[in-house]
Amino acid sequence: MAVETVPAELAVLLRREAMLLDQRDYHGWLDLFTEDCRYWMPVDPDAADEPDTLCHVFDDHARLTDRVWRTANGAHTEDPPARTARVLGEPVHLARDADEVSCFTPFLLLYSRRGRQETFGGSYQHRAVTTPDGWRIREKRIRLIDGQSALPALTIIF
Amino acid sequence: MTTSVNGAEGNALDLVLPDRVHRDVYTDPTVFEMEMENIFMHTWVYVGHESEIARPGDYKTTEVGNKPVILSRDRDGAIHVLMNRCRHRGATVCQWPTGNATSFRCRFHGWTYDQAGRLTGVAYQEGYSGLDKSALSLESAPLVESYRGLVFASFDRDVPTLREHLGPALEFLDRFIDHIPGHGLRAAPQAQRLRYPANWKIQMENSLDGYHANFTHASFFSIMQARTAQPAQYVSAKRTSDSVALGNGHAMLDQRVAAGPALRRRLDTLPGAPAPGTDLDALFGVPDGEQLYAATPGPGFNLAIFPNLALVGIHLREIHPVSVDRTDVVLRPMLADGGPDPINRLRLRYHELFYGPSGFGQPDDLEMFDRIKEGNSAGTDPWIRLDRGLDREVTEADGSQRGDITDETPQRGQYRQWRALMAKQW
Repeated sequence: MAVETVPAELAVLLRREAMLLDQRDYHGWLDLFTEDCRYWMPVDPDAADEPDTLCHVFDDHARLTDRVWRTANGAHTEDPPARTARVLGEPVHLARDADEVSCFTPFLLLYSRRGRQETFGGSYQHRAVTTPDGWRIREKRIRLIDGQSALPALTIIF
Repeated sequence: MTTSVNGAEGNALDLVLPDRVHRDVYTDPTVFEMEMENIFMHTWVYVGHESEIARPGDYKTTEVGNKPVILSRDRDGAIHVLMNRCRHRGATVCQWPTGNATSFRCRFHGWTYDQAGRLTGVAYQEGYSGLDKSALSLESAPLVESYRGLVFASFDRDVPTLREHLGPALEFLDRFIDHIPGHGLRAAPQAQRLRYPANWKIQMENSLDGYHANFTHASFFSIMQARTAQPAQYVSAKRTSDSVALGNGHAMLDQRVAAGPALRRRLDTLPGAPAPGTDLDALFGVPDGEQLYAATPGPGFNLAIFPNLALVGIHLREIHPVSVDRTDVVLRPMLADGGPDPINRLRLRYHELFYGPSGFGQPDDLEMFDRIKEGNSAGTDPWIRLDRGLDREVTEADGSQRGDITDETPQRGQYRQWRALMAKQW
């Protein structure tokens, strides 16, 4: 049986997304999302795929826009800002539904700020859609393996 | 010469004065060890909400001070707080955060304890002569009591009753517990856990700090102002509201008058919030949808129960001292027990807006705790000032002290209780 792969343009988008975040181009990053998007990180990385669970982050486009503003301009935890470096694994195709594709991408994120380094890891689950402007992200779910452990302030965008 | 309990003249009580505390209260390991004993082993400590261990056999692991314990409900429904330490060689007997079990078995050598901590099984017992199993139960808190679902334990039998201890705070505890019309509270199945590299008392003070909000949380207020088209700051030079040192170290910050309308408007910003003008009774499928929804921001005050609990927004906040310069904080939002799922979903969204490691408010508190840790040792002035509003504070007929919401009245009350417990010889 042929194994379906993630469309090449979508794989490029995921790598570009990581680059924009590492470069702290948050507004450029937000442009990759659709107006009906969801960006979320449940406390329990194994939580079911529905919203009746406590999350560290649960954003629609409006709250995500506020988050971008806060990370870029407002949060004391970003003054001075953190630097991040992300390493993505190869995205794995999960499902296709009409013009939507879901995929799973392992990540490792190194965080450095004011002499302190942290390491975060887990996976991203993207649901992306083709639009006249190319692929756009309709949903990004972050599974943080430390989601239920004691966490420091996480005002970076994952 | 600094005052320190490590110094020749050492006395922890010299570190806390009525209007200031010495910076060493945050950093001295000897003070921390004294606190773990004199405070956490000799007063009522909050250990959990009954809904977290609702059924017989349910347990959760947590800490009293920096000691690992198991909160366990036995088959008869009684609640126990057990030291999570095998009486044989000291290993923990339970590793899971929550679960349901008929017994706790130490996997090192197989010693087995029941839900009440009684030693029921010793492997190859003939190797011991005259082993008295009844003397080798898991150590347990002699006093475990609930107040309307909130479970407290004391490892010292000789303390005031829980009701006496909580007495000055009962009015506000009840208001929190009753803040959802027609429904009791149940804990959300998940909790957020935060850590910061500084002393536990900084969080204790901060849960009742009405002075910091406009500055530490300036970005949050900017966002809310933009989203709700309403001034979101509720503290100014003009007196708007009160802070109260209730007694026994408990304290309250009253935001009901000043922040009430702003809290209601914040609901409109929640992901999935009903559009203004929606028939909420129809939407939630209940006759009191409007009242249920209006309760989403909680009762509108912060309450702190000395030493390790605060009730803020709609969450129960547990302070877990790990070491003198490391603290964990657990946040457990409370939901409407038996309430409509969409209401409870919106309660989660409300909590996530400000709180947790990625909320729009709480990370900035953690940053300030970090900055205290960084700056505290600098210079020759060792004092942390807690004198704001000292001259305008009023002592009420019930013995409580009342100040402006921006005053350090609550913190002075907390440290009075700290001093009283640290001064006792046990």
